[in-house]
Amino acid sequence: MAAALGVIALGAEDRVGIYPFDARLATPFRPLRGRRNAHRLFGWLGALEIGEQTDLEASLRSFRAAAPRRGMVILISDLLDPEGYDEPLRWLGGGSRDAFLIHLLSPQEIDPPLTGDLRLVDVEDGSRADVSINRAILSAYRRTVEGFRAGVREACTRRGIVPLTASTGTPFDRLVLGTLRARRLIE
Amino acid sequence: MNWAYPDARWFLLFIPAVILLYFLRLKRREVQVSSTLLWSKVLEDRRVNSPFQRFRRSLLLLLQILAIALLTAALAQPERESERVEGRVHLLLVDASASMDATEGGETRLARARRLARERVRGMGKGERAVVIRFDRGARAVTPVSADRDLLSGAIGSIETRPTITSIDAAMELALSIARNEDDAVAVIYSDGAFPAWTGGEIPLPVEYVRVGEAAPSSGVTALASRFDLSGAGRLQVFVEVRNAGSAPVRGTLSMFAGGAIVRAAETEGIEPGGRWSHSFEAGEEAPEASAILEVRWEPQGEDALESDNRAWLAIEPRGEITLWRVGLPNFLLDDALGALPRVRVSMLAAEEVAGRAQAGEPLPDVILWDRIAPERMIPGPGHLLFGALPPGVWEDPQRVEFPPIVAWDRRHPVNRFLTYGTLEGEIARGWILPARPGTVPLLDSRGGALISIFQGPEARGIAVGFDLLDSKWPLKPSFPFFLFNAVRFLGLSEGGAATGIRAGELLSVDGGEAVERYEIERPGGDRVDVEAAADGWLRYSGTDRLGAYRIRWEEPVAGGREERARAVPVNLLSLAETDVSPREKLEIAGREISQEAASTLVRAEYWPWLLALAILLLLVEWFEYHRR
Repeated sequence: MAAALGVIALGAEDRVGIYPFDARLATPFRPLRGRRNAHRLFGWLGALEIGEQTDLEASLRSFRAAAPRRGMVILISDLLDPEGYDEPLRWLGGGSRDAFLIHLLSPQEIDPPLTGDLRLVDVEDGSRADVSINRAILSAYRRTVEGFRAGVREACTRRGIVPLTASTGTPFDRLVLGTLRARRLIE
Repeated sequence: MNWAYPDARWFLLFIPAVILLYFLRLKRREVQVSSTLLWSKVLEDRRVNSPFQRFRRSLLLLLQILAIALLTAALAQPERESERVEGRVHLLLVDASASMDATEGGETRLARARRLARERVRGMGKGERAVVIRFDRGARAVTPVSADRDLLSGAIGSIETRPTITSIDAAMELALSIARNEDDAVAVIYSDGAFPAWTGGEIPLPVEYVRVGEAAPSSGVTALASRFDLSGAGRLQVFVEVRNAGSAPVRGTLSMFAGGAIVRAAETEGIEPGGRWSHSFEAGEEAPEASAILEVRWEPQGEDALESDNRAWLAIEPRGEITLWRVGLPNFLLDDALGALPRVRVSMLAAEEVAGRAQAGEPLPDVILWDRIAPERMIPGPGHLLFGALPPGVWEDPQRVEFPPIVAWDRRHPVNRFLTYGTLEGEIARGWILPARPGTVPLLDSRGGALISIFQGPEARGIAVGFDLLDSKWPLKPSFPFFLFNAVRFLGLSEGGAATGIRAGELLSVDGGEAVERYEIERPGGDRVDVEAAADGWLRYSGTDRLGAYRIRWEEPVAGGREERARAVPVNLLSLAETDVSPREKLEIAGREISQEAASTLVRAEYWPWLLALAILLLLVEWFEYHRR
């Protein structure tokens, strides 16, 4: 998704920078302009590795200090930070920036295909949760996901951020050409 | 609360096993997820919103543990505390005499008695045992003393009635002999109580009376006799007595059959409750041939609870002589009376001579009369009549009394026919009191026992007069020749030309001669049995469990071949006690009155079916809960 948005922006002769983060802000892809830099952007994204656990607060605070003060900023994240997402989001908007959030969850996170007595292991921090999954638990989980998404949308609205809810299971063309255009993220 | 099988508690060990399996089964499969954040939130919310979540998680385990506990309790069979005592032996005495065939409400009394006895067996607890004793005129234990309920119930179910009179004596003797080896026993009598009181000694164990049957209309033939008239014309007179034991007047028809065809009939005007109707048929020229059977049939109008007492049979016999051996001390009064008996051939023998002839296998007489000398052992075959002497092995050391009072006598018995003992009051200087023993039937009662009694053992039978004739004035009384006549005829199995035979269950004896090897018996109903003759050539057959005429055939060796002989012996009920089917409210046992109300019915309250049902219900809930998840 970052590559697609980046190519669209490069094609419009906008400067594009990418700031990856996990527990902290990592080395960014310095803002470049021009379609000819598209292959460099692809290469950089392809080399990006999965980091450690998420720390939105620290990462977005660093981003605010490091990134240009003007322009459009798009946060692509699942916002699954044990410390919460509401406070960190205040570092995203404000000033002369137009802030967007693409809240991205996988289909397995939205409707997990799990059942029985399981021990769930968090791939980020290795934490464990013992759960006996039945229909009632799954219903409760789905309600929690919906509540989480609604909370994100409410927090974004409060902080002047345009929220977009997306699933990694949604075909890319439908996401870019449908959802992002409808929300005027692209034209 | 008692537990029939407390050892079942070991099944509780399944509970830790189930708990172990529960934890083994809870070894969770690990699954990697992008974040456990949302799952943790879900679990936290459910914990907050559902305080019973922890309980619900282990609901299945709880249900399983509860089901095991209930199943274990069901196996241990809890029951309400009762009077039952561990180790107790129940002596179940089931009356199977003729009156138990009375039908009330579509069920015979015996069927009801069997049902109640089986309930008793089912109600036995751990350590309790029982023995089933079937009784009518005799008694037999049909099971060993056992705790096996199936065995006991099966034996109870196989009990059938025999058309005989009832005697509690043999049954109580048998019960007492069994109880002697047990510390704690209780006798339970399932009967309508239609039998004479137990006059034996004190019974050292509790006795319960489970009365079966209701008062019901009943009438039947209770006496039958015959004689050829004295005119010499050979006319046969048949005397019949019908008794109404019901509570309402009864009418009916009395018929006499010969060779299957009706030859005489009479109709009653109506017999009052408790009343009798005597009627005599004169067979006259239609008198059947010798060895033929006359049947008397009573057909009451309306309901009649007992059918087996409505028929009786007579066998017409050639009027031959009765042979009698007179053994003992000189007694001219006795010898005079014997000499006056018609068709009785008397031979005087010494006691040693009798024994010698018997040992030598010589033909024996119909009757042996012992006067003041008792035989060393009873010679099987003939009937024995003893005056002032007692048969060996029947009464051991009886009480000797002076001037015994006359209390009662059985007026219906053939030996007591046409006579009264009332004139003997105060006329007997001394004598033995003969208490009731197995196989004895009192003919003349004094206080504490009989003065004259019938005895019957496996081989020998007879009548014992417990006093010396010379110690009384009886030989001078008119009743004496009648007694002698009746007793000799009775023991000689002859009824003045027609025999009423024997009672059901009694030993059937026929002397066909010592050379006879086999007898063929055609039983009532037509089935035939072959019976081997005893060593002395006699037929002794105990299977007289059916009413009617038994036709016996045998071949007697004669010069130049064999000659076929035949004889018919009727087997009759002829018992007012059985005809009177109204159940007795109380039993008299050794001076004690035992009522139905006093009988404690040990109906055990069992809870195991409920526990089992609850356990199954819990398992269903567990199954449903498991699949709901």
